[in-house]
Amino acid sequence: MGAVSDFMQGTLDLLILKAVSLRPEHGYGLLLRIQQISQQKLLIQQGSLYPALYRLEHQRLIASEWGESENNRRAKYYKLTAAGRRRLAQELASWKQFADGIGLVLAAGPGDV
Amino acid sequence: MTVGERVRSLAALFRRRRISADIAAEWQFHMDAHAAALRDQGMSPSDAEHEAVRAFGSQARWQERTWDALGIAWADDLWRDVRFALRVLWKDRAFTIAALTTLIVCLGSYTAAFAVVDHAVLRPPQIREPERIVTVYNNYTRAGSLHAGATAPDYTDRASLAVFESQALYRTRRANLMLAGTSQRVRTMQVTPSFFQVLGVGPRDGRVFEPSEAEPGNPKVVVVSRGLEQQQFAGGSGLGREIRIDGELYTVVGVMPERFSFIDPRIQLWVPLVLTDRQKAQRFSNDFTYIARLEPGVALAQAQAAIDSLNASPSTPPSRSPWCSLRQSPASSSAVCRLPAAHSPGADPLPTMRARLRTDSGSGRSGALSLQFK
Repeated sequence: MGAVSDFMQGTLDLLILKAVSLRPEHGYGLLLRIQQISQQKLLIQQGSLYPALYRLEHQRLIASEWGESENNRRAKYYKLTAAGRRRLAQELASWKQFADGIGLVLAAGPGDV
Repeated sequence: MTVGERVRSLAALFRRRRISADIAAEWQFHMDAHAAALRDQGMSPSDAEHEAVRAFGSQARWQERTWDALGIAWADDLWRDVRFALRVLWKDRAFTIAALTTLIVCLGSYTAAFAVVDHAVLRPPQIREPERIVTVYNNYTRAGSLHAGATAPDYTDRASLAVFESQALYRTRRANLMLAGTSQRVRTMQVTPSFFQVLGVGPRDGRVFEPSEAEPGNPKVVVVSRGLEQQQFAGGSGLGREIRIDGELYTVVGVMPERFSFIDPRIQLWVPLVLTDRQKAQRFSNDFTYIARLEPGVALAQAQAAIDSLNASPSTPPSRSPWCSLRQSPASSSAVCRLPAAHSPGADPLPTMRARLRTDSGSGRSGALSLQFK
C-alpha cells in the first residue's frame, strides 16, 4: 500500500502543529519528521507544506526565526506559539472524537445493529 | 479572517520584497537539503538536483499559494484599486481640484459653524447644570396679566421652600456710566447677591457680592464684564477701580469670565439689588424676575406644587394690587418654568415661555395649570 498524500481538510495543519510542538524545526525537517514518525505512511507534498506553514504563521499559531541548520546553513525555524498550543489541544480533542466515531462505525458488525 | 490578520496582510503588502526573499531562501534551503539527502542515497549530484525540483512541484503555483496564505490577495486588490483611483483623479485634475476644494470649503465651514454652535448654544455661558434653573412668575388671570414678574415678598416667602437650593431676584436697567471723563449708556443688571450662586458661576477675577452689600447704606460695589474691563481699563485689571454709575461712585470688586452671559449678552455691569423697606412689603409690584436653582432630583411639578401650596397658605397674603378695581380679588397663581432655553443670548425668559394659566371660571386659584412652551 502506498503512502497517503491526499489529506482531509485541516489534517495537514494538525500534523504541522503537532510536529512543531515536539521541537522547533525548519520546513524540510518537519517534512522528514512527519514521514519518519508515521513510518512513511504519510507523504506530505512538498509544495503544500510551505503555504500551510505561512498560513499558520499568519494566524500567529506558529512563529518563525532564521537560524543555523545542522550543516551550518541559514534556515528558517518554526516553533509553536501559546495560541498554537491552545489550538493544538482543541484540534487533538476534536480529532480524537472524530477518529473514535469513525472507528466505531467502521468496526460495526451485523450484530451491532 | 480576523482583523489582526487583515492588518498583518496589509503590512505584508509593504514588506513584499523582504517576504519574497525569505520565500526564495527557504525554497533554496529545501532544495539543497533534499538534494543532499538524495545524494546520500547514491544519486548523482545532477540527478539529485533535478529530482529535488521535481518532487517539490510547480514553483509558480507554490509561490502563489504562499502569498494567498498571507492574505495578500485582497490586500493587493485593495492597493490596486487605490492606485487606480489615484491615477483617474490625476488624469482629471480639474475635477479633482474642484471636488477637493468643495470638500475643504464645506468641511471648513461646517467645522466653523459647529464651533460657533458649540460655543454659543451647546456650552453657553459657564452656567452650572442649567436644567436645574427655573423661573417663577405670577399670573393674574382675572386682571388679564398672564406674565407678570415677581415681587420682593415672593422672594422672602420662598426662602423657606425646600425644593429650591438657592433663589435670586434680578432686574435689568440702563444706566449712565462715567469713566475717565467720558460717559456712555450701558445695560446693567441689579441682582441679589445670591444671583451668582443660583447660576453657579464665579468671577474670573476678584469676587461677587456679599449678602451685606444688598443692605442699604453699605459701600457701593460693582462686578463688571470682561469686555468692559478690557475696553475701559486698557488691558489692565479693573479690580479696585472706581467708576461712576448714574452719578454714584462704585468700586469694582469682580470681573466675570470672558463668555459669561445670562439672558442678555449686552449686560456689562452687575450691581447689588438693594431692596427698600417699601419694596420688601409691596405684594403687587412685580418689578423683578425670580430665578431659583432646584434641589438635585426635584422635578418641575414638585416645585410647582410647593409654590401652589405656599400661595394657598393663609399666612401668605395674595399678591394683588390695592388699586385693583375688580371686586373679587384677582385669581392669582405662580408658574414655574425651566430656564435653559432662555440662557441663549438675547432671550428673555418671559416672552419666550408662554405659560398659560387656565382656571375654571370663578374658581380662583385652584385652577388646573397647563404650561405651553413656544
